[in-house]
Amino acid sequence: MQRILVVEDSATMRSYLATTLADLDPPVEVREAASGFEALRLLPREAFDLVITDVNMPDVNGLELVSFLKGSEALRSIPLIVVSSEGSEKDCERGLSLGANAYLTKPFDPEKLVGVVRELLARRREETGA
Amino acid sequence: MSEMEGAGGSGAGDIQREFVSEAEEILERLGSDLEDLADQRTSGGEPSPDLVNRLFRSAHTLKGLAGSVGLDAMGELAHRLEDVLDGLRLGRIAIDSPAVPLIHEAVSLFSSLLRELSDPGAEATPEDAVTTLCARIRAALASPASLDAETDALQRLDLDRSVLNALTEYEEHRLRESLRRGRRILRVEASFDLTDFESGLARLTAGVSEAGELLSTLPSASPEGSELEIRFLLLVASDLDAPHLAEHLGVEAGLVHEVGGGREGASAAVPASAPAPMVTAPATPTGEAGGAGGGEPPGRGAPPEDVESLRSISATVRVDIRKLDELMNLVGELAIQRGQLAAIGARLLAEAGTARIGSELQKVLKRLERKLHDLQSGVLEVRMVPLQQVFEKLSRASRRLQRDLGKRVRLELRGAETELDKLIVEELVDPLLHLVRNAFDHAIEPPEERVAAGKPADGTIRIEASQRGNHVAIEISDDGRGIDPARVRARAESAGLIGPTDVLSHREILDLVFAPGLSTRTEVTETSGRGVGMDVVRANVTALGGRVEIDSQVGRGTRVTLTLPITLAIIQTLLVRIGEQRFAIPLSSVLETLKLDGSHVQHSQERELLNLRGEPLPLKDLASELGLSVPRAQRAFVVVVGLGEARVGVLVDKLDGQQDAVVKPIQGPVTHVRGVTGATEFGDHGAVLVLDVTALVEDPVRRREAA
Repeated sequence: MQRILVVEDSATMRSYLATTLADLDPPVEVREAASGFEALRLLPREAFDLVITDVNMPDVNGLELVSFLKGSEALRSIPLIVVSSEGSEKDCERGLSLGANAYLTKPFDPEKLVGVVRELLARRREETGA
Repeated sequence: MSEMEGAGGSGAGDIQREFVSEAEEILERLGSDLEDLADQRTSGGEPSPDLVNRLFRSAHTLKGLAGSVGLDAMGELAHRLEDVLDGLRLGRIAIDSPAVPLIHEAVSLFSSLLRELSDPGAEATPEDAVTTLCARIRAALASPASLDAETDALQRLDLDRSVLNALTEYEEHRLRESLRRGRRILRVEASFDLTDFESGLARLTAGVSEAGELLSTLPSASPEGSELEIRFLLLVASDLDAPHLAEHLGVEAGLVHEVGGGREGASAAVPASAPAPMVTAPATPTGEAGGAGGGEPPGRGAPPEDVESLRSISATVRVDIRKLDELMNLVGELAIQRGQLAAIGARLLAEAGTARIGSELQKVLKRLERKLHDLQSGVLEVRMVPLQQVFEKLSRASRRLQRDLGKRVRLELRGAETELDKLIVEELVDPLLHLVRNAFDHAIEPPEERVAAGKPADGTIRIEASQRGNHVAIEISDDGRGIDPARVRARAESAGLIGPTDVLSHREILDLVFAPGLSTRTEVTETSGRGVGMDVVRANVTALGGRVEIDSQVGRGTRVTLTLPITLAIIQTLLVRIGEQRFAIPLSSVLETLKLDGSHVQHSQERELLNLRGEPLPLKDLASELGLSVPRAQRAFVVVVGLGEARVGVLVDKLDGQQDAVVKPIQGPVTHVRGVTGATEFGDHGAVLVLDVTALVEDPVRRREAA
């Protein structure tokens, strides 16, 4: 089963994302991190096929997380989606320039999220041959 | 298939309920942050950037939440609120802008809308209230004073493009602002062990905050590709130059580089302007010190009263914690049943005729296990509460003490958001109150004495909570007179706790303050009695599976550190074997496991010591501790356990893997066995005893006392 890491400091947004992703077929396993720190701990230890991260978080923010992933030999290939609120498009664009694959602004259409995730996961499956 | 239905069924209603309760929390925080902002304005200072950014983030989260659950009017309102706070944090509008007072109106309107949402009977808000207020905010923001002409300032910095690219718009603004004020911009590199980077990083960033402002924390994997290490690049604005910052942070000079900024042409000897304001928890009474003795300070800004009344409207239920314990036990029992099913599955799988059924059963079991895990973490999560409430009690107590004792003390509270099991939080109130009273009463000197000693007239007591893996550390420190080891020693000798010839280290002597009946001060005071209590503090904390440590320097102050497990309900354990008997050791206390190498063991008096990478590690043989007659020759492994700063190596025969355990107190005729906290059950082998790490790491001094 492909695994997605959701990094988001709001519990409501986390469950919203997890519920939305539960509709995916084939099913995916969703891991949640409540902070950038938690994500930094999980990423090198567990294998993920996709990371969805909020931009505005205390401690380590989403852009810093993108930069971390893209700077790591082992983690560089994991696809990334950055999420932020309307009005913070600039931050999201910075995320893209750092190497994120897509960005979404909150509030977003669940179908759009599922669509982007499905596409990135399919591409990932081809690449990893899983 | 039924699993999918189950997941889909709980959909929209739940999310809306979650929204209400999270929005309430955010509004509460917004309210108290707004009070702090009002305080900062009254005292004439500039608003702290961290505070404004926190306010912005709250509004930002509200907006995202409201939009995601389809509450458009609330989303719109939060959006306008965010606009004001964004303008404020990015320096686009000034603190005296006409838009700023509208923040309060927006928060209060949002609260009313939220109340309507959770209680249909509530008084309805006029339909056009939102559109009107939003229009007013837009109008107030319409006259922007443009800033930021120095786009190129950033290009002049000696910084890699990749670092600048990872800055958010806000961080970039803070960097510009720091440059504009002539502060130096410095780069600090640090690398940490991946398993434990948070505490190291927290120490470093605390040091940075004292010396200036932390602009950004950029993590990167270690260049050697080591998976065990993580590197951080901190971007710092400070008045210190690189060598002084390195010295202040206690890091090698080569790791700190100045990348630009600073007052060009100004003399290096210019005294540093006030360092960045200290970030304190919302509940902190900081700033009230000046008004001590005058009772409650009147009229603190204009906090929206509606926020206060929100507490009662949420759709939450109060539950007796014992019911949660029962649920937890049930989960544990389900796990045992699952274990038994797994054993049957394995048998089916082994037989050619039933292998297919076996493999189907195993698939189902996998899913069952996942759901069980979710159930378990769900129940656990319900039990967790932030320390905020305790901190509020402490600030109230501190205000009262200031009034009663006529001492002026700043109480700084940090880490109020740190979460702990509800049960532990409740048990912590008394020990913490006691420690604060002690500090007020015994540690902080009268103002004249402080001034004579070259200290500020106002004392400081700081309480700082932080999570460290599966533990929470709470440090209570003061800048008072400290504890005189000679006096402690004299008292302990006259109380017969130690002999005049006993050799004790500084730490061991300080540790004696926790001995029953020992007090170094003779007078009795109203506030903290007769120094009775430190032993009770230790007993209370130990009963929670925690540890208390004390450190003190005469004339400088005292620091007491409580280390507590996050929850008592469920623990991950390492299973070990001695002879045929199995024991569980809480994994949170296990630092590492080693194969026992006899050539590294030394004997000193009655103690055995293992040379662990050059450090002596006391060894304990579990068999003899617990009175089991299993030949010593069978011990093949050392489990290094630690709590707080104490370490000990436990000798065992075999390591049997990890297991989650629901710990139950031992029932029946034997209720207390030294070294054992309780029992747990695993599917395949009945009851297993869980070892008490606190007892294992106790040092010989304490043992002698107990004897």
